[in-house]
Amino acid sequence: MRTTILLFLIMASLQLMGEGYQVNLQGQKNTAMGHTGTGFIAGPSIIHFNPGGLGFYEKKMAFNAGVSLIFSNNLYQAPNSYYEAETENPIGTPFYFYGAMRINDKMAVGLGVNTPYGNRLKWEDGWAGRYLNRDIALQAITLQPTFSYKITDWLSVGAGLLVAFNSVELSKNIPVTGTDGDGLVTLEGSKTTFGVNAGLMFKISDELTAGISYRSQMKAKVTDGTAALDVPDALSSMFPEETGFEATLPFPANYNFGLAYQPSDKFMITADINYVQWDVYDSLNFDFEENTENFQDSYNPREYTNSFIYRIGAAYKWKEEVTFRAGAYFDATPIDDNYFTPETPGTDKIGITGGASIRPFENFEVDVSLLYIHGMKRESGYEPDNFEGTFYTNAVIPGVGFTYSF
Amino acid sequence: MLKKIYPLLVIVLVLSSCTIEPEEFDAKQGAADFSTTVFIGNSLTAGFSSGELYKSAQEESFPAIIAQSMNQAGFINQFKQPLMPGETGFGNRLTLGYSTNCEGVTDLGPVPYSDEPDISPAMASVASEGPFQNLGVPGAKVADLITPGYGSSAGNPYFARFTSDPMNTILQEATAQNPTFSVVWIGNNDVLGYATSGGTGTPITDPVTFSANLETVVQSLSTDGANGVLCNIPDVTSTAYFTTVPYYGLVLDADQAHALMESYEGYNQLAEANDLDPMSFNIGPNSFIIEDKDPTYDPVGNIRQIDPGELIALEIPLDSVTCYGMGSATPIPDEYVLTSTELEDINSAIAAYNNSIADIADTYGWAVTDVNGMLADIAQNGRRIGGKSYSIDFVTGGLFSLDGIHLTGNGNAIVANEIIETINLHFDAALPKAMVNNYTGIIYP
Repeated sequence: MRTTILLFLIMASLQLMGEGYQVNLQGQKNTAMGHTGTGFIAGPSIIHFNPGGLGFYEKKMAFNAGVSLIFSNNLYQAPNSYYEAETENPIGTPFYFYGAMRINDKMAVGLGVNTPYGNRLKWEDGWAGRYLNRDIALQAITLQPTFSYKITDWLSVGAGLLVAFNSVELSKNIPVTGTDGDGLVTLEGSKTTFGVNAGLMFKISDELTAGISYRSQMKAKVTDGTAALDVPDALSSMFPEETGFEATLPFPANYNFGLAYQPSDKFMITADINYVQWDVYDSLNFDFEENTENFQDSYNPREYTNSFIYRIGAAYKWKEEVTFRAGAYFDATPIDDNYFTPETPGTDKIGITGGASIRPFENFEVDVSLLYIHGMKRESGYEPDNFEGTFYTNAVIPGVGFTYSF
Repeated sequence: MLKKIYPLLVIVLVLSSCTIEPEEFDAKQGAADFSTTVFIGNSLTAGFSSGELYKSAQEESFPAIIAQSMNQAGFINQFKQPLMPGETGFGNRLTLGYSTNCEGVTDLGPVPYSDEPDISPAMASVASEGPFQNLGVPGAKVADLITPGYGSSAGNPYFARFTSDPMNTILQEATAQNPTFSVVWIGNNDVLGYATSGGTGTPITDPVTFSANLETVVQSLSTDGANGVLCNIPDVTSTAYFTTVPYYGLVLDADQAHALMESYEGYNQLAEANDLDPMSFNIGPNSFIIEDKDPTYDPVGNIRQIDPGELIALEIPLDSVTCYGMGSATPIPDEYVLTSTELEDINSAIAAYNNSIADIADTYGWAVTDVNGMLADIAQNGRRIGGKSYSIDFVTGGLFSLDGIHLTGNGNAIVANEIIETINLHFDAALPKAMVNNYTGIIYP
């Protein structure tokens, strides 16, 4: 199993899954229940969903690892035209690992490694939006050491430090054409950022629990990015071949509220609301070290707005060793109709989820989940570039995870 | 355990293969019938580009782009163009390349595409492959559409190579096909022949004659309820050909300015005596000296400094300007200059033509595409399409080809979309638009 996880780490690549570039696949049990998890403890994934809940987690020690496979489709349709373009579909593989340990009756510690933000897309070569975007690979591998303290039998608090290793690579064509085709610019940068994830969990009654958590925003200020340009020979003196850049990519704060109602040992229903502060993403600007008349700093408005995600989930314990799960969510897009870019072709999304857990041995559990995302058809465009059309998106995401606990 | 995962894997495979089914564009003909559509016009219709008619440019002519739209929708029965055999045509094609000027400076600019013009195959008749629906003939004026013998050996070689009978008119080549729809863009050469020769060539077609001839054409093409679209004539100041060389391009240092003042001292005395403007030269950019055959300038030897707003043609021999004193020691010859008087004649003719075009279209129920308005708008504001900026600037603007007056593939697609838009509006049709950036533009070496 260790080699498998290692392999997944190496392959780790993410894809747009939550709206914007947030990835909401942080625990297979949670994913199977509409990705709820702020108000109840699905397992060690509580480290991500609500660090406050870790103090209530009863296991002495628990390890949980998982991976999802994202099969997604994005389709662009030009206005008043038969023209269509699709993204090639590299399979995204976001992963997570959580380890939790109880120190004493009151205190617990944990470590999370996951990928809460990311985006990976590649549009077909020569497509009509190539001067806006050709491909993008954004990932934020995040470490989260966490401490939680159970104040009373009904209240536990906790917090973790977020250390995110962010990297981005994107390319687009430049509208100057040589005998080999359009010019190309490729931008690469990386930056480590810090933040916090903190929360509270309440045991209101034996049946009802609630949670609040907050994950802070992080701004990745890339200061040593590189821009590589490829233009026709005749224009080589008009563009730098390679230059540095500075840019800031923000990762939004999340406010999460969750409830879980468990009328019997066999059955549980859950609900979460996430409020995502996307308004931090007002523009994406590249300040290039070397400018020429034809290669200026680029200012790209984004104008994202804050958005809500509404989630519900349910679990049913069929037998002692088999539990079934289901859920659904509605993820409202933060993206303005006039600032819709093909690098992040977001739309309002409905997610339908299902899954199961099987416990073949006493301390070992296998979780599977399946998520189908239906993106609402959207007629939008990026006004500054006069690029518009109808965008369609959907995705199928199976996932598997393993939990070892005692 | 594995057995329990199998069904899930099956579901995954099924779902992952499910693709998006978009709602397809819903095309309609509306009140028009595109089944036999013919395109009538001049070099712009033929697909002429960068100084020549050649195959790959014809394949991106605006008629080819509109026909593709009609064909995608399943509305058009046939579309054929009299394609040239290759990429060199009659040997006048230009490409972007390096050339060294008289001062030994090497720079990027239009240079001949090939040393080997393919003249004889280009002359070979392709009439047996007809009938053709793109009947654009480079050089054609409105009267040429109805002139018998225009396709004979004494006529226009471009028409001669595809007409089914040397004595047929271009209009007859069209009406023989019983067209249900026509796209007609004619009249540019009726002023352009005068304009591109600096007012020295063939005179401007009289607007009354223009109107009568155009009506004959439109009337014939309106038989049995057929209709179409007429494109109007753009202003010469909306082309790269007349807006690239600045009137104040004579850059002087102190010595040069002083020397010119001295050498034109006699001119200035004469000018004063005849109540004409004297010449003046300062350090920096100055107005060029031009030839003006207007009798007003007879007393001063028919030369003067150019006025703001007067235009210099792209084809002016730049080496003569740079090294041999054209525009300073000697005037720029009349054929490269449009004076304000000539411009007035051209503009009033274009205005009259465009009025006739609108009136005739109205009489016969045809649509009008305001190419003039569209190019004026692009000249003023540029146009950004899918992240690429187009303007009328020579080379960098991407709209005009290397001859400065005919369009690139991108430019043809912009015109095609404008025509499609007016067709859709006028006939309540829904023809799909072309993807402008997926056609060919200026290619840099």
